[in-house]
Amino acid sequence: MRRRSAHVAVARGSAIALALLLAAACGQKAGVGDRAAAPSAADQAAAGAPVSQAGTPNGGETIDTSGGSGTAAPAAGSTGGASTGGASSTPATGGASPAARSSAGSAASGGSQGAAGGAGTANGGRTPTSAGGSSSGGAGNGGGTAAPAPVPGGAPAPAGPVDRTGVSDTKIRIGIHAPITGAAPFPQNAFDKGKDVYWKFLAEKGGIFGRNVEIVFRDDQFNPSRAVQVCREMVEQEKVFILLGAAGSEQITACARYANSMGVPYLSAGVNEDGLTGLRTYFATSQTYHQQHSALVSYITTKLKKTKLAIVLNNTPALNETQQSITKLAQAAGLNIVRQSRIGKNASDSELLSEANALRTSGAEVVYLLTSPVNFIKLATNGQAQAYSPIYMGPGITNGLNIVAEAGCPAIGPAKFFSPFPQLDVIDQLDPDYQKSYQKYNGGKGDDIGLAEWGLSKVIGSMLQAAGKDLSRQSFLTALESGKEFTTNVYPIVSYSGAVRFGAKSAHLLEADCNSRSFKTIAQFTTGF
Amino acid sequence: MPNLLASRSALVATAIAVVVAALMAASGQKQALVIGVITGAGYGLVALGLVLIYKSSGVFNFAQGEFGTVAVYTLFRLHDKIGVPLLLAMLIGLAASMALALATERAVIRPLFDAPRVTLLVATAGVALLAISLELWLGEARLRFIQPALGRLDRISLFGVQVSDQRLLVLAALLMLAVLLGLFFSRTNLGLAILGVSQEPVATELMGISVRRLSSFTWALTGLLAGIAGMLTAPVVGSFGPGFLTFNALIPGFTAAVLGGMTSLPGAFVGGVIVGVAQSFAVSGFQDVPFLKEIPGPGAVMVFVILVVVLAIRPQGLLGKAS
Repeated sequence: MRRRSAHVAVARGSAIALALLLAAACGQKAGVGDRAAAPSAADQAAAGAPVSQAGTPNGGETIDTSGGSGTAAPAAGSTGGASTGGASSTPATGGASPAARSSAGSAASGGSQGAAGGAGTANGGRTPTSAGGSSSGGAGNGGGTAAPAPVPGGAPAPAGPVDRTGVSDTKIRIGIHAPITGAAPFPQNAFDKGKDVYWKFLAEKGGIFGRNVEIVFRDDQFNPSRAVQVCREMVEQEKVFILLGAAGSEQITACARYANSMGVPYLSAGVNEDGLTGLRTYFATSQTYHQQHSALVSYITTKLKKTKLAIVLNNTPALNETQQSITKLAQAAGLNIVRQSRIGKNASDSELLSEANALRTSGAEVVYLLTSPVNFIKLATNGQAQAYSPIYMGPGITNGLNIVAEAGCPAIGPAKFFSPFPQLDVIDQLDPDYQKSYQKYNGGKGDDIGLAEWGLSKVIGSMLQAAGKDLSRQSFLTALESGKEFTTNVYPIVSYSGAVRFGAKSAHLLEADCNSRSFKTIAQFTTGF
Repeated sequence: MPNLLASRSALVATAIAVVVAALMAASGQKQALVIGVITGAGYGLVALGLVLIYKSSGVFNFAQGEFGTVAVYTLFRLHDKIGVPLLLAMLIGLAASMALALATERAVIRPLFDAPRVTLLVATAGVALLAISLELWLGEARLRFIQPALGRLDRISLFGVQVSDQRLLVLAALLMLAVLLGLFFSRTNLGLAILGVSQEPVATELMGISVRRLSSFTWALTGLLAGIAGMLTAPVVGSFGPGFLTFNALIPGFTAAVLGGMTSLPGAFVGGVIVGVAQSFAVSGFQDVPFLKEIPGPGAVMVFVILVVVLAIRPQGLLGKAS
């Protein structure tokens, strides 16, 4: 009896310890919902929202790491009135940010003060006034810049005194997060090798009004909680000027919401719109999944001439609206949706084999796929083992990377994915500078991960140029919202306005070529078929 | 009396398995049944190693998965990167996992052998975390994709599910190892000595049996089992990375061991298959149920449900001894 009790005790203890250990070791990899995305105002306050010293003369070599006026933690219920800085201001129109909504009562008044350059006035109390309560406090361009139009339901604007966090006379510091681990078999140094190539190229041409860009890079581990953690680190410790998200819808959504709550401009390749719509500081540099869907559906109907479609997405709340969007468009185009399913972010062998088998049974000719490359490769491999080889197709950012073809061929077949950037087969025609620069600074042929970084950097570079010499977060946002088109010949042309944050006009379509184990560009800057 | 209890347990387990299989077949889940059996075989392999250590020393070995992952890394490095012939690379990989298991026994288990079992449990968890860190350091954080050594995908087709050679190999290996180990512990002097050490170490020592040598032997054997599990299941899963077996198979393997009875080697086989089938059923069966289909990772949820239910209702498992 005693021995049995011992068995039971050890077994129970083991079970509990095992669960705790794995949760810790995995960094809570398993589906972290949207709730984890936006840090609460209490979190932000605890993180120590920096006291503003905006408006500090920006002299010398030192990057302004004061935190700036746009970085105090917002909280619903705080007082301080609407922002009034600058020559004009836009009244608050309701609708606090999600973070603010979730933290009513947590006052955060009395934050930043500071004389802004130009006409900026002190902004007592860092009010998280809802939608766009924005004002450009004499930002950058000599003051008196027009306040950007409000984004419905948007977060507090980076209003008030000029915020030059991360900017000095010689440097601009930019933070990037990407899923180096967890989503795809990325070589560990691939991101590192490519992240500075464009900025070195630009520096040789004089930089951005004499400033060079310094990149701070963090691995978000394909985990939204981790993403917020690294974004917070880059904003609050590294004092970056803006944040960029490379890939991963949940991570981008989580960081974008955090950045919005801190008044930090955040740009990423287009992902879901749900959870990002209405964020004052968010901008998509390429088409969102929803925007890619009409071209995708028209390709299936007119080029592939297939009728049976299955839809498979990662099981994350951020993709609910994306699933509705593709379903609606496919049905409208007369496609027969034979199966819809969601698979776990870290799907098991059993789950993927079951899914592959169900897809085969459904008779789907085309599988719309929106999962991580790891899940895609495993699903396709299991499908192949079941003698099932449909055409995999989808929107996205990372499934068209060559590493996917290297690891997934021949199982992925002639898979087709939309992409913000073209593949290496056409880059010399579109932008000959990429390979030359990569060769020059890294001593080898540039890969497509480097190309993705090159394209994104080029977009950001043109935006920074447009923001003018007197760079601040306010002038940057104003430049983006001006309606100006940003053209790179790598990423699609993109333009925004006060209300439009998903402003890309086209996308590239890539196709896997399993003979060369790489993706080829089959359509450039396409808007439909 | 114990034999009667054991045979009754086996009968109950078999009856449950038959009823579950019949229900699944009747409800159109025949494919899930096949998928569950072939995926559960991998869990059974991990469970065998867990049971072996628990049976011989009463320690739950958290590092079991990492012994196997080290074998996979060694095989990959030698065969894919350096070009060492497959068979030789496999043997060296198995030697590596046995060496790690032996090192664990000598450096961690033996000094702490008289400590409470919970201390040993935490110590093996430490070994697992250390091994994962080493794998991250040596092998980068990226996933490695691998192809099965046995390439034929359509050897057998059951209820429309194609079963590849590699999956058949895993199933056959599990069955064979469970039987061989069962015979080893019941029919050989060495096996009986190991059991004797686990129950009465002092008395066994007085009989002239070296407890230390037996302990080393058992850990080396579990290292070998883990190495086999890793090498056979990684090509089936299609990829591996740091912590591969720990993150993919330790929880299901632990559940299989508990379900089968922590001291029963055939129970590990049965438990592995049942866990695989339950997982597969959750994945395919929950898809059409309004509330359940919202669950992310239904297979993983099912594993925890089984674990909790077994611990609450029948902690000695289906084939384990109650006393």
